[in-house]
Amino acid sequence: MERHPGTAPPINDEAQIEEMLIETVLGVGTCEAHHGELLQGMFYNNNGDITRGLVTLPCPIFHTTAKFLPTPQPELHVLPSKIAKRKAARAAELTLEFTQRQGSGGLLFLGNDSPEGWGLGSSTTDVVSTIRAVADAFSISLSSDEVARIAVKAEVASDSIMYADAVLFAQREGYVIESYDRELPPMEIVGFNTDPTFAGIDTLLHPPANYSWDEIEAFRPLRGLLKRGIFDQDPNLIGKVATESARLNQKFLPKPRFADILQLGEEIGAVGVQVAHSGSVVGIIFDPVDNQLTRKMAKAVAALRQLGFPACHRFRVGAI
Amino acid sequence: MVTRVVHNSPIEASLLPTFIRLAKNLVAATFGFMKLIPATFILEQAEKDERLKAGKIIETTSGPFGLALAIVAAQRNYSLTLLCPKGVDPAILEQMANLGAKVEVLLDQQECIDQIQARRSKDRELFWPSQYHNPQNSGSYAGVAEAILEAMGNVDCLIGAVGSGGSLCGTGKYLRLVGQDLRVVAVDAMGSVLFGKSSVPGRLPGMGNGVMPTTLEHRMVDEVHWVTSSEALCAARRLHKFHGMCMGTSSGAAFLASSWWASKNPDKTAVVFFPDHSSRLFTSLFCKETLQAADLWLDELPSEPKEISHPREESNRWSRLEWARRSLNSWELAREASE
Ligand SMILES: Cc1ncc(COP(=O)(O)O)c(C=O)c1O
Repeated sequence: MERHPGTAPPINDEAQIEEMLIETVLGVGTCEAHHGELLQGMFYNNNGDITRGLVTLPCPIFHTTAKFLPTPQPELHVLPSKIAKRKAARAAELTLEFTQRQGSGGLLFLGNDSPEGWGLGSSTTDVVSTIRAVADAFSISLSSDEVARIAVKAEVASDSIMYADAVLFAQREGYVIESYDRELPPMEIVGFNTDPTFAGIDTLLHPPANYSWDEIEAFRPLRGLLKRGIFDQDPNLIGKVATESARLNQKFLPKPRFADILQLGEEIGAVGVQVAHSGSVVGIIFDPVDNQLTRKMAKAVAALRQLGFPACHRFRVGAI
Repeated sequence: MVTRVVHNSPIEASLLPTFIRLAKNLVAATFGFMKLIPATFILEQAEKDERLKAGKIIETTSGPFGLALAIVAAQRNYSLTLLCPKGVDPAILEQMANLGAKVEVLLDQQECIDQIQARRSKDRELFWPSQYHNPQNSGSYAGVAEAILEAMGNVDCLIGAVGSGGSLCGTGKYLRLVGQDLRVVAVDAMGSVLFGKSSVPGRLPGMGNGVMPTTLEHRMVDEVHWVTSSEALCAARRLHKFHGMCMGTSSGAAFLASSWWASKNPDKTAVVFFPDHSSRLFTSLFCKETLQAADLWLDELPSEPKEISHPREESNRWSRLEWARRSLNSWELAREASE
């Protein structure tokens, strides 16, 4: 085998090989996709400063599974490719650093089952599953806060999919502005992609929304109602928050046929409409205990077809 | 997880209301001193936009807003000049002066405004909060709407006394972002011009106005109540009697209107603003002799408002009008007056 400068010398010592074999455990990490946000804007943190924040809507029908096989050589090999999975590769390196294994490399395999080009947050999903896989390979358990910090470092801005409980998350700084100590209430969602050609926003290139003072203030009532909605586990309140957040952000990343979608939601008796604030998916939110649920969802799918959105998916969040 | 916190200043501690249930479907949002909210917000925004670099502020006031500005300005070392029209309670002028504000008493509100304009044309760095025309007055109430929604979810009705209209219209606007059906009920002073009556001098401070502020958005308002000074005082004593709360006269007036509204709408939830304690503005609600001498004492309150169908309809007692989100112009007050 050809030797490159910087690679580890061949291992001869039997004890060393043995140690390596013991340590070589395949780490596995998974992470569900998300479907944009229920709320995104600017919020007051505990110090009274204003910071960008969001509340992620998970999309549990799609996942990334990452597998990481550590090797004593410092190179990192990524499948499908390092170019396609640039942020995940960076996340693997950062996790190795964080766990004080700077010198190690490995093989990182990523399997993402979400449909390509839908902007279902596949980069954070890849990044989080990668961090989990690398940590798992060394039997290290990282807290959600630690995962969040590494994720933000790896991709500049990340959603809050690593948290099990609902949180208001500072996506560019990687900390929780407010934790709600419980999951989102159960919600049924009919989702669709408003722009199949949209590949998601490159956070590095797209300037963040520039909110005026009154837009920033308008996020405060939404945050208040969100908190009440999570506390009461009431999807109706969450739906109102999501709809208004979508409305306030429409001018920054417009969704096609937005007014029609809002009207559709109202007419069929959905609880609200949510959007991906840096993607192209939109979801119509329903209350799962509504006894007209199936009929309403069917109506939504038919009406969306009329609006020019032929393909819908259905998913559910929250415990039943 | 939310833990209890220690506030860094009495101002910070006053920026959010405490919610107190007065009846099954009526909740009071009580404030330590509500005007600290717009005063703080307007100054902070001016700091952010670098409109306060010179640190000099001027405002005209006859009461609470000037006092609130004086409190915030003192904490932040700003130089504050307050121009007050004649007739402002001397105890308030003393409080303003005690906080380091330069207080000047002028003839009337118009002279105060002329003076501000003259001084600002000479000194461009003089910052004028202008509570009656600054959208950041109403804009400052987002945190109040947040607190209401967090504590109660959506409510059906918001009731409050109006001076600039900032608190009622600001909070109402933010609440309606997530609940378009919210009913907004304004409580005005008899003899105030805010909802189309003609001006009568000698109103109690706080509630009502002798000039028309642009911060009052008439088209947000569903219903208006007018309350006389003696009724407001009596209602404030009733609030004390029933709930042990010693709030100001505008709280009293709002209590009167909101108790009536809540009893008429048992299936709806209402929030009413109590902006200030009685200690701040009036020597006492309970100085019976003084109040009797001024013809401001009442023993009993009417149980119902008098229903009127036009702002100019004569009435010298608590009255109610279905305003129906109309503009002020739509009532054709000028024509009405000339007929
Ligand atoms: C003490 C006090 N503060 C505030 C207000 C309400 O003021 P605004 O309408 O200017 O928000 C009143 C009103 O009636 C008041 O009496």
